[in-house]
Amino acid sequence: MTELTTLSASALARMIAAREVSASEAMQAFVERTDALEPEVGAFITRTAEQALADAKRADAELAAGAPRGPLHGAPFGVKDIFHAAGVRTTNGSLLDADYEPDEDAAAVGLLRQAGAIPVGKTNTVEFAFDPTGRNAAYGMPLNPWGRDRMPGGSSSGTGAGVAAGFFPMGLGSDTGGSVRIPSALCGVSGLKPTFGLVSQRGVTPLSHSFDTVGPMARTAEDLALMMNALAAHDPGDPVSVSAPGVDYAANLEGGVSGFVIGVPVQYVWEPLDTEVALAFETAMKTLETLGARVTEVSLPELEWTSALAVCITTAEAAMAHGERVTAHGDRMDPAVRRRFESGLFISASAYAKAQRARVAYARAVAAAFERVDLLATPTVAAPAPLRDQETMTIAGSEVSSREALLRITRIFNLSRAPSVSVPCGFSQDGLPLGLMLSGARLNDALVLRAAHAYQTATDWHTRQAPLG
Amino acid sequence: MPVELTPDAFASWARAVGLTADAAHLETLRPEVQAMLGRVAPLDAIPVDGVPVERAVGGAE
Repeated sequence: MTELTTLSASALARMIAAREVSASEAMQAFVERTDALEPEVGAFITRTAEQALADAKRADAELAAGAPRGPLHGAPFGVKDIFHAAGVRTTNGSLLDADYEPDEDAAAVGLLRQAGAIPVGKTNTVEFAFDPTGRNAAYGMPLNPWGRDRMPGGSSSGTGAGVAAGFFPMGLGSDTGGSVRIPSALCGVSGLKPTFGLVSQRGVTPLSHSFDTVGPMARTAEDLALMMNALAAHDPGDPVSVSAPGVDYAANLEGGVSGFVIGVPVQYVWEPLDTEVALAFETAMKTLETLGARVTEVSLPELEWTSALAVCITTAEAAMAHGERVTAHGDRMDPAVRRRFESGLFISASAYAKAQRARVAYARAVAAAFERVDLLATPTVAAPAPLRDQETMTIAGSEVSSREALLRITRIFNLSRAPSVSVPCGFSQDGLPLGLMLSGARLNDALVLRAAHAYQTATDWHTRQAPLG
Repeated sequence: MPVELTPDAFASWARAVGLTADAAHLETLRPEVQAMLGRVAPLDAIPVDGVPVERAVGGAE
């Protein structure tokens, strides 16, 4: 039998539905692998293995009774530790919340449970999800399963590392500036930042309310689509919730990219860009052309505003969300994260309002580009995973901070609130995964997933297993 | 670029925004705030005449 922990969530769920393996047997395999490797990987802050095994037993009983919950029945998932889970501590990656136990599930956790998936624990996150590296002073930085000396990326570091390590085939992340797509790219998995508001934020600790977006992470685009079928639902309890009624993301996966026009921005993205990343991206574009897509250049000068807008709005809103706690209890936080929050206190109301107006102009420009092309394609991250303690890096002769190198490209689609998926598209000479990012117009998440699935049908990067265990 | 923040000016500003941290902490924060203000400075040159503030800050778009 194929090793269960290497399977995609959809493949595993199909085996469970066909009674080729029980949910209990599958869960036991994941628990045993995690028992063996978690001390080295550090993907979790809190494991719930006993409850997961009990849930798997219940899932088997439901299946035997002819009442499977849905297409993810029996498949395990990890939950980033900024999502509430009833009766399980939710630390937000911070010592400030080390003992906090919410009474209710976050909406996204509840929706995946309803679809039959089983949570296996709370995964590591950067403190309050405010950093793209994966560093966490209190709970440790997870291992990047592809490179022991490399960052896993963040802030959804534990979900990315856990999928790559085979601890669970799918998981929940959140993406404010790239926090689903960055660890997906660095850990060699697939991750979607949906359209802003398409997945409920209810029960998820906020960072920046203009951008915070719940997103699925998994091995394949097919898994992401199945997760989106469960997750995308209007929620009156979330003030920014939007709806896309009647969309079946999984049913829309097939059809390929023949006839699609894929735009490649000519500004901003490329300076600086690692040469291996650039080569992998060019090869990915040729693959999409082979599949029938037409690749064309797109001019978007507004992209040069990306860093200024994202820094101003995110930092100010982070201070709005957590400033009082940080000023009162900052001495118990990671000093670097504390300073980042405190910096937001120094942004004036007029600067924040100007940045929000510029964000709308920026989003309108990106939306106009999607009237000329079906998708925008870019690398996900400007360089392969930095070293774990690397503060700055040299990319194509330019010295940049590692944080900026990680966030530079992904932020475009937080500012424009558009759907954006990262899928593996190759490896560096050092064996580190590289990511391709495909993005579409707002509420065109199904198209983005369809293109990602077409790419994965023609390539096998997403099937590679990290060299662990 | 914004004007350089001297330690005294920064300490006053910090008090005004509610930060009562000790001087040593403020000295680690000061260069970070200076750098952040530099990064958001390009905002001044971005044209936003076509976007009423109530469309943007209210989250309508």
